Amino acid sequence: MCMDLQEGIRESWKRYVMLGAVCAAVLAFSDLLTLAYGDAPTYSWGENMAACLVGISPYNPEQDSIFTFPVAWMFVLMVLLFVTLSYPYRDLLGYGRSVLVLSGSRVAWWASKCLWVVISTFAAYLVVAASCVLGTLAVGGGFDLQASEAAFMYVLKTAPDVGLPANLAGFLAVAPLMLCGLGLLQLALSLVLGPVLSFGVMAAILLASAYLYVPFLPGEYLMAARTASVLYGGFEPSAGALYALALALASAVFGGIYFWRMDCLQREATA
Amino acid sequence: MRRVLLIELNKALRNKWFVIALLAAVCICMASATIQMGWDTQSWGVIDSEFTGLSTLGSYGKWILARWDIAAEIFFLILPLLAIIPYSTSLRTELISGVYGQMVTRSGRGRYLFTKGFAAFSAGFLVAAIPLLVNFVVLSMLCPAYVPEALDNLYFGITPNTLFSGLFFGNPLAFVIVNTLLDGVLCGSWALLVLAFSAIIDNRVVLLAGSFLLTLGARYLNAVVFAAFGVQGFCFNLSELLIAVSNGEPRVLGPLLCVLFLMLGLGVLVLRAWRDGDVL
Repeated sequence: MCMDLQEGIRESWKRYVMLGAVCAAVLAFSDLLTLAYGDAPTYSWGENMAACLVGISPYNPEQDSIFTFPVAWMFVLMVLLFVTLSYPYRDLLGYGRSVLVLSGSRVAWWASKCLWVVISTFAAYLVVAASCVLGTLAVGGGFDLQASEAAFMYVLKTAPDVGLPANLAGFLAVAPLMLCGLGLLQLALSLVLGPVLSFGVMAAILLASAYLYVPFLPGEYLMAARTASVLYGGFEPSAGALYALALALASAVFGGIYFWRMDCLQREATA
Repeated sequence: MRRVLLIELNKALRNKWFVIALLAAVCICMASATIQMGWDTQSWGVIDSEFTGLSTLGSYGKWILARWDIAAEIFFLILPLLAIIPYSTSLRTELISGVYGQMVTRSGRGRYLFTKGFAAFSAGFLVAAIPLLVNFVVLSMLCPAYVPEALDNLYFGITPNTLFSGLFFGNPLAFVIVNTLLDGVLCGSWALLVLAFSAIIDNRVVLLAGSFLLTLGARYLNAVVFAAFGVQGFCFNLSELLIAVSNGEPRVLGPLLCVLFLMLGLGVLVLRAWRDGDVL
């Protein structure tokens, strides 16, 4: 586990920097657009976090004619998933294979990788949070978790039909749990499809979550615009937490079963 | 040269990743065709009489580049990734395995890189073009080939500003062919560019996934950054250039050609600059 942390950080530190830069860019342009409308972007830390994970309001293909691709939300989440993408598979093909043989335990190796994904995802979420702290300090905002009317208008882009201010604490608590669930799902899929195709599947899942409005898609719980405190009839963070836990456990267990039976020697270091 | 070209094309088009990428793309296009057929089945009862929007029920009106659904969204989002999976990391793979050194001593570096680039371009082209054609053929087997009418413009996503809109309403088969070729060439150029950078970047997963992130980043740049600075009216990111009916900025011929020549030019330049490097 210690070796995984050390090697994983050594391989992935540039991706954390990239994630921080992406979040800073998202916050900067969110503030610029608010300024363009003539308002001062003194967003709080909670509102800045929501800006990075805003998503879009529910889309109804029968009523709405245009689907607005949530490009900022997709970009942030795909960079976040990119942080934990390649190290486990690359490790299996390299030094980790020797460690696996010497340890004599596939379960230990797999558990270590799952734990690495969870820790790395939380670390990545902390990077997002730190970027938002810097963004909040830059605009002179506060450190509360409430969404104000200005945030509804310029960041969440939806009407405040559940009353103001909206409490974002539940959403911000569930987001890292769901990201861990997605990270473990990506890890399990990378054993079957390879890291690159699993990355593509994650993109498809997130896009489907944005296009549709169904509770079984993980991306629904990663959109601030669809959480229950922002949208009337939105998704409850408590349900999201249970779903994230179930997704993480299922991915770890089924991925572990597949890894238990997998031929580790014939794997290619390609897609 | 001909023999090397045949070898490279054989390796590019008969490897399992090409089959996987192509199958995935075809399945998503078939899903789009299924969704399009499912939406309008209740309208078939009034097919005997002419009514507004009738031409939207035809194969041209339901084609994946003319109408919009979740499968089409997913297809055009991950098409840049599917196009580079089959053969864009082959150069790096052969450098690692030593095959590259064996091949260039027998056929010459320039010749070998040219054939490899052509094979990667072909793989990317086919991963884009074949699913689009399959989608059209399947719809053509199930729907009448109504020529789209300009009066039904409201029901199509195609406006007078859409690139080749005149073809869509005047000669829709030419619209299908031209857009299929265009998307194929864009994806082929993209595959060539990623192949060129595989000579420099040794982590193949980072190369492929990072390239996909780059397309997302370019889309963000186009949609948000440029809009924040008031620059609008055209798209230059690969994901939206592949789409005839865009919900974002429209395709304009000038920027499209710029992006195409930039990808081709940069790919060729990087390969040429790297050509005489150390292969050991």
